[in-house]
Amino acid sequence: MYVAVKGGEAAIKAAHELLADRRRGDRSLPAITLEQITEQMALAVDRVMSEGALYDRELAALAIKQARGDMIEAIFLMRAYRTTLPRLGYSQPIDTGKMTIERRISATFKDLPGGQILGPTFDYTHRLLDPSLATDEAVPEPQTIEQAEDLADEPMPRVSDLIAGEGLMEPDSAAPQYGSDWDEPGDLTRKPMQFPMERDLRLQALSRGDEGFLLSLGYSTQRGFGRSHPFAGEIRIGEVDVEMEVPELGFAVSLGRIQVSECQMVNQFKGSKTVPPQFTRGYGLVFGQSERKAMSMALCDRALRARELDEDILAPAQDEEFVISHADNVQATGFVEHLKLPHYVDFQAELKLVRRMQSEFFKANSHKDADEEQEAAQ
Amino acid sequence: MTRTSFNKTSLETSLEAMQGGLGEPVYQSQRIFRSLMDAMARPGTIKPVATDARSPLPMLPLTAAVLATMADADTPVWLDGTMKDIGALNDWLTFHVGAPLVDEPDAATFAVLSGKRDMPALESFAKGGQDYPDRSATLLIQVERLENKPDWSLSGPGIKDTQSLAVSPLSPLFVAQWQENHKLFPRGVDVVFVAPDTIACLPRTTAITLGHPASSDKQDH
Amino acid sequence: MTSATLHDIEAQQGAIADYNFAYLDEQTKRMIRRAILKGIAIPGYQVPFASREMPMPYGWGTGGVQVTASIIGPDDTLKVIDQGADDTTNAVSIRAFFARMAKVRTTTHTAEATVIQTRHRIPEEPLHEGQVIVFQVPIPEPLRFLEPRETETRKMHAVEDYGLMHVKLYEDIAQKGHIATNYAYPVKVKGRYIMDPSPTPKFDNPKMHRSEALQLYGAGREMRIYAIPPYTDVVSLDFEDYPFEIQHFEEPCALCGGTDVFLDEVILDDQGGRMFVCSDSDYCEDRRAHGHRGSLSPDILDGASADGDKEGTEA
Repeated sequence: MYVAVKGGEAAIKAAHELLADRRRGDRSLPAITLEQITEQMALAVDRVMSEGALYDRELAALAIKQARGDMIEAIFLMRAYRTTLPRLGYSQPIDTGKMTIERRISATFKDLPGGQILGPTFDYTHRLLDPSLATDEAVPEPQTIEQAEDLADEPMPRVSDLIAGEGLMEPDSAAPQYGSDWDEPGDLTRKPMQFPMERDLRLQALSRGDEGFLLSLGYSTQRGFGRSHPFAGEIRIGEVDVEMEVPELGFAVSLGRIQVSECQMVNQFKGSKTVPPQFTRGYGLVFGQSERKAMSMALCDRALRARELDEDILAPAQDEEFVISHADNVQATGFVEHLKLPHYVDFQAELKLVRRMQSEFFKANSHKDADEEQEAAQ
Repeated sequence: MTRTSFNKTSLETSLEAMQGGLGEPVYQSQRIFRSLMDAMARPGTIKPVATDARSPLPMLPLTAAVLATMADADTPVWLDGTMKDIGALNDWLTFHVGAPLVDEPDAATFAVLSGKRDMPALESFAKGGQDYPDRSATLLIQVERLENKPDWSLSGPGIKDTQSLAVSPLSPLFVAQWQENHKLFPRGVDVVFVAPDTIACLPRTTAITLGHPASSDKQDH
Repeated sequence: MTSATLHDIEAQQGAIADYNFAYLDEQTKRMIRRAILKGIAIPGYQVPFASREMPMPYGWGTGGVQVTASIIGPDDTLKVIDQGADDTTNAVSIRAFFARMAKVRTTTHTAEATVIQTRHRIPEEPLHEGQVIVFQVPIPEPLRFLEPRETETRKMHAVEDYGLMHVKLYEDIAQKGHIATNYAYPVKVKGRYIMDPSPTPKFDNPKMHRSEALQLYGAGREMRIYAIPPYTDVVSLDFEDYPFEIQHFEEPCALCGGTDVFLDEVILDDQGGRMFVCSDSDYCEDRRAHGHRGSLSPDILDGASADGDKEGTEA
């Protein structure tokens, strides 16, 4: 006996209660605090801020907790909250040249002004599971090296600026004439996306894009799918000031500091009809500490400049519409997961057609068999 | 990116400008939009629209209310010669709409003009491209009366058979210009006629045939 | 800074401020409203809009929800259906969202609704003047599966070059004997734009033609809004020798006896037992309330009403 499905509302409510229960888990264990997440799962928090496009550690920690550690779900929560926030104004561009450096490395020069600073990195750790972390063993305070403090006062010019001094590096794109203002960058969350796209919007899309997707695309360029001869010119991680100009005051005021990771890939470029041989750049900038994402972004950015630099567009990573249309994991997960919504109307339509085509197929074949038998008999 | 620049005016002007916005803006603009949407979807039907907006002359309060509903910092607005240099009106628009005012008609998303004699040609406004025909202007044309009289017989999407409409006063050049505009489809401008208490729309898809009194009254809703 | 934003969330959840009526902020509504007006003025053309993240996933109706949120007001009565039914989980969820965020009346009765948001169906009962139907659209571009690039399809629409679509439909006929598209069947609007009607079954295509209601289409993830004004010509693509035809069901609805409606197949057991019932749940319930019966109606099975059976088979 068929009974029409009813009570969707009750089912949804019950499912959400179950979700809350599973999220809390064993009640005899203390609930995880947002402070614990921001302090001890900091890189997860950074990724959620970066791809959620909202710099707020506490909210990111809340999102991670609410999402039971599902990163894309947490990113989605951040985005859905972010979109409701009013725009009170626009900050000045951050100046990563004035960053308070926590980590800064260059693969292109052995030594350079300001030095190489490893900072808190997984690099050169041996990936052996550490049993001491299974318990709450005391962790000693890091040593302060006096030399490091000296270094902190030394200016740390960006490697790209150092190479540019020699005229071997392309200038920043859309660099303003002396005395004139920068072009206002666009914002793809406020204006509809349009292809072909300018680099500012592309960079915004990449910075919000899925780390895994960009990582794989960046990797593909290294394996020859759109090879661009990259060197990690510089990776720097640290804090920068965010300033905003207040018209009533007539000067910029600081809103606070944010941590960012910046990567400048330096790529050999043979030149084109109009541009001399030189180094070109791929750029990556993300919230928090995530050099994998910043590096992947920089590789993709450089690959996507193929049109601008008159290069043949042959590889997936160079294909702007392909990369930008599929980089957003909130969009991607929504559409992939929507396949679990009911589609029985469409499936019914398909069922009817496949049944009809199949019966036509068998009918045609049986005629053919009959013909063949007849032929054989003759 | 467009930003609103707040004109520094005297305190008095600012206070005056701050008066007369939409009361309960969220609900009022929703109501006004629905009337506008219905009017655009059913060209030539006359929609009564109430507003408590009070804007400086010669902008009709209803025109101001439509602008407050539809325009903002992202939509450049062009005002015709009868309105463009009126300081109080500019202040009101800056405060309640926040749209940048532009001098070139073809840079405007919304244009406000009086239907009288000196109406600028429709073709001076943005008509969109073949690839992006939506990047075209919406003209708010202020008139005194909108009536379902058979001056015009309208046809096209949104109209069951034909729809009669009379607009006055209106530049005698309008109909000829409209025919040209209509032919451009999918490009073209769209028009909202604004009378003191009513609106009626002409999207670019609507064809105007001049007066057929015999078949007039039956199409009025 | 961070604690303040947490307070903001709490404040929002505690009391829904005026500016959060229907969730979207006013600037976003204005942007969507502008897109809707241009969509109406250019029937069948996909207007790009800066779609926002919504509190439900992309692909789950965010386009439809943004359109509905931008048009709906306190005087409206909203109906939400998915696959034709009011009680499917996603329809329930979206209806609850608007009941909470916009405090609007909701209904399951097609005739009572001023705004109907739908996924994959158009109600069986003809829509009337003054109603607005909002479609949730996953892929708005009818040419997408022939040409994946937006840059290319935009050119095709601009110069009205739809040869590719006709070739595709014709290849179907050549290879399979008929057009193998059963839902999202392309239409031509006002003799100009080829449009994707969203994945409604082609059964519903004729309902779009000169409908009394305004049809709005929202694709959130793909950031497009399009529209068909009332009384607009909507023609399903076909060929002279292969005219467009809709699906026909051999048997009537097993519950209400309705014919000429779209039916869902319901599997009853693992022995091949199945029945067909109306996909439009409100239509089916309404018919049953008016005494119509199908072959598997509970009271028919109980042998209670022989009259009902008769009526059902007539209907």
